[in-house]
Amino acid sequence: MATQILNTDIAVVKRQGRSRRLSAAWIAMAIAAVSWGAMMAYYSFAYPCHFFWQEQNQIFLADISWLSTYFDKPGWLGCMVGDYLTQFYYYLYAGPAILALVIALAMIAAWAGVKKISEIGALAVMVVVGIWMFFSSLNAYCGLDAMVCVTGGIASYLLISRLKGWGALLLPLAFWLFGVGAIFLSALIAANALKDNWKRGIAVTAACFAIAFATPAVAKSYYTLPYAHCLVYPKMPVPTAPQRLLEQNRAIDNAYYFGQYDRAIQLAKQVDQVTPVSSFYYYLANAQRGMLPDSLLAYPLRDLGTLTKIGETTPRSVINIMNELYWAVGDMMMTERAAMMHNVFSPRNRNVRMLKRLAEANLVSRDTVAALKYLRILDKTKVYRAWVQDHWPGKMSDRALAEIESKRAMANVQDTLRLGDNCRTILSELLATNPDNVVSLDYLLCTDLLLKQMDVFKADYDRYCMERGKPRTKSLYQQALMIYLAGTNAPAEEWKRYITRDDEMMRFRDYNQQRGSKKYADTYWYYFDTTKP
Amino acid sequence: MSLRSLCPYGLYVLTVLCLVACAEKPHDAERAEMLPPIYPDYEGVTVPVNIAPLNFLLRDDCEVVYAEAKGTAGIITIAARGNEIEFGPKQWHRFLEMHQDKSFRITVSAKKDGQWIEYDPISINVSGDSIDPYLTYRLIEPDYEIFSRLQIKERCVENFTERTLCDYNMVGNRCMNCHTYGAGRPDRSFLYVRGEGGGMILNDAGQLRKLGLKTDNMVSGSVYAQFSPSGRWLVFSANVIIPGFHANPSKRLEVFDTKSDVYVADLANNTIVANPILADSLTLETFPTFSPDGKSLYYCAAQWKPKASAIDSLQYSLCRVDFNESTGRVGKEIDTIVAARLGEKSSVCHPRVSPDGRYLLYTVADYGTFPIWHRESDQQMIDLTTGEINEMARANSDQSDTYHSWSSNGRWIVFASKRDDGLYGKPYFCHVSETGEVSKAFVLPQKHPTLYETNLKSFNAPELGRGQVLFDAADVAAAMELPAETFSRED
Repeated sequence: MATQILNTDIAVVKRQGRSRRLSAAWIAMAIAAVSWGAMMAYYSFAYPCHFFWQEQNQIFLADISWLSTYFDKPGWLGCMVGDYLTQFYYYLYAGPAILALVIALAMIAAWAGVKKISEIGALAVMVVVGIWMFFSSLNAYCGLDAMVCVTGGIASYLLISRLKGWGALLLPLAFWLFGVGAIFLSALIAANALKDNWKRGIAVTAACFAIAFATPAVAKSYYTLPYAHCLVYPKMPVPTAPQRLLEQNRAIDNAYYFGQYDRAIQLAKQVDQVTPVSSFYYYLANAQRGMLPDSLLAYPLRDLGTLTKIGETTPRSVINIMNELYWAVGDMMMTERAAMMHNVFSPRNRNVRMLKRLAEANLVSRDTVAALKYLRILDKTKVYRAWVQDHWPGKMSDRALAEIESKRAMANVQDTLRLGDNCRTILSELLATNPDNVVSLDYLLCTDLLLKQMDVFKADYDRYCMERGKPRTKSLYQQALMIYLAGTNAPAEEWKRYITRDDEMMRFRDYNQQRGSKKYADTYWYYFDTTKP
Repeated sequence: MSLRSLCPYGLYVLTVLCLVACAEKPHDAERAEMLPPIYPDYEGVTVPVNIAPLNFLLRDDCEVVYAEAKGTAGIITIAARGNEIEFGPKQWHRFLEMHQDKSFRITVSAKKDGQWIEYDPISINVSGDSIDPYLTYRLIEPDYEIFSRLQIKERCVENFTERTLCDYNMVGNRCMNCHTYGAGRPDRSFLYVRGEGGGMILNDAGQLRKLGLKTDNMVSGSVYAQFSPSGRWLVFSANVIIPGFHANPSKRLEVFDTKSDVYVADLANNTIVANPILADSLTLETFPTFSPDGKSLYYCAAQWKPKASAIDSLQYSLCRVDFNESTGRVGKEIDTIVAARLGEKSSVCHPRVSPDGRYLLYTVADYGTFPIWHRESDQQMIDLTTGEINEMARANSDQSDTYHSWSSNGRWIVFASKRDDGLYGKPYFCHVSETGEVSKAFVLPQKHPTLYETNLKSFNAPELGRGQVLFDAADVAAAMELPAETFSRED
């Protein structure tokens, strides 16, 4: 009878334990689900461009020779899965969903790995892991590969937990598969071993950390990595605050990239803080519509990009915008150079946006074999295959052909040797080839005006507008011409020849009565009088 | 029962079929009446008997591809899903050995939409002359103006193993270039690691030395260098190099010298011998190399131009002076071996003398010292005994063909060619017969032939070596920690 009661009590205790574990599991699942939803919402609505940036700064090819390169470094499985999934960041909401899911899985795995030590502690660890990975994911240079490696390392414990301390022997395998993830796996093995048996746990802990730290030391020569890098390959996620300004700049870049010029202009106006990137796109989007002179004085920071030179120390964001400028004005040599440079400095020298641009630039230059090099690469991607079919030489769609032809009309046909990337030389040569290249013309004239080089402006205006019988009577140019004419005491015939807008003439007379008045802050006269170039 | 006895005509039948496609043999095939659109192009090439399998891909959408390599001494058949053919290494090498100094044909068939198509066979010649088994090259994006994540690799051309000799991760992402052997010897070579704390890393019988090959009066550190046959001397040029960009997208980057001189370094005594005849301020001297007997020094020379705009008239002639290996001194007479002719493609770069001293291989371009981006640049070979120039029409292409190296037996050359896409240089090999006849070039075989399609690096400055180099990337990283050995000037 007593035995029967005891058995019943044990059964009840077991049921209660199971029920408590079940409820803890439900709580963990609920936390993970809520976290996934919250992260997904945050990423989708507050941080969407971060994903597109990451997608552009890598490439994943369904090709055996390409895939085999993942074995050159530790954590091949995590890196391969991470890069495979990153390509889907191209699609709206896919990136947020994938990254949030990876973090949620890491949270669940962390909970499951710690739950035998402490149920409450497991929930706390789960939350800490979630917060740490979430804030790390906000870092522009923390890719999905690192997140998958960490998640893979933590989740591996679930597969080897039955091995107890002997699981430490599998740490080299974990390092091979998940790189930095092996460190987290060793921590879980050690923590559980300490919980099971304190004395044995100390030995297991020592073994775990010895193996986890010795494996990269042994493997670093094979992987040709310094020890510190090998240990945390591909990267140890480091939490960072949301990079709001960077996100805003990327939003402008994305809008421009997809041809949404109005949106790019609007976003550039709405930034918390103007930057060379926001300024650059504000002007480039306006230039695409022939409105650069109308907008030149309307933005607080006047950075056209024409005075920027790129080299080995230039940030990639600047190389990126210069690539867009050269493409917009039609210089394929410089477009290719900037694209190559961007590619060279991208993580693992891979940048799918620049490969696409290299294909385009070579199509414009009629260098078909070079274009095919990049088209064949892009053809092995999931996301850009349709674009490739649209741009394949000899089979181009009407829309693609029209775009390429429009660029060909702008192409530089001169063969001069430039000793630098002086934009004045580039723009002058483009205009010599095609004087109707309005984007180049406006950039040239506006650069002259920002530098207040009135003689140079007048010479350029004469050469590309007056001598061709195509005066460009934008307010900005009319105002600048008035300054030049007034400064050189030009005769009335000259005024009549150049100044054709009476409204601007009237305003000029008014301005001269109130020189420097903020009422005229939108005019070139005001800029000329009050701003240092 | 031996394999031979199974074949009544003494033929070996070596059949390798992919498991997935073992039932897929061509049947009722239509004849395509054309050569197969394969990459790399192996039609009509001559390959060394010890070359790795010539794996290839069919540039066509097909379900199954089937290849039959057949010669007088055997057959290999292989079928695979997709469009890639990869030969088994063992069977391949046996097959080549059996066809030494013979030719064989590969017939390719493809199954498209359920229908087999058989293409015309391609023909391949197998030379009994072996090629040096190792090849080193630098992997770099084809934008030479800037760099990131460079590597110098060593590849065994008999199989597909590759080793890293210098890696950006181990040397702080510095620039590195030109792994150069002394007469193909794996125990005598050097490479450069540039930038602060860099220098020439000299492989002296496996011991690495870091050399600061510069004295105060030199215009720069060493740029292009070659060993003397004994290994004691190193001849090198010091160049002030200016990069420029062509407005024409097809020409891309130009690099030219505004100053350059040639010096000889004594590696035994750490001295640099200045020979005034090779350091004339009105002449640009560059690309020096020794003859295999060590008695001559060849280099390229051009008249100095005051303006960069005159670069299209900056043409280099091939010159020679006597060299005394016991003193490191050069003679007083300069012989012009190949004279540049204004307005013609005759500017000479990268002279390399064949190991037997008979031929001198060089690159010709319209002008300048950077033929890598000159589409017109080709290789030529002069017979030093007769002065006859071989224009190597079968080896050259309509894209840049440049930077070559000889195999130690003098029967093979390797060079960097951009013939496939105009952008990315790849190592191409040619056979050179005893009479100086040069065969059609073929590219370094890869295990997965799509590597050349997806790869975004140029195989730069390929050099053939007789054996595996006696150091690796970790050794170079350790050598970088050494203080650079200084050199004194000896006038």
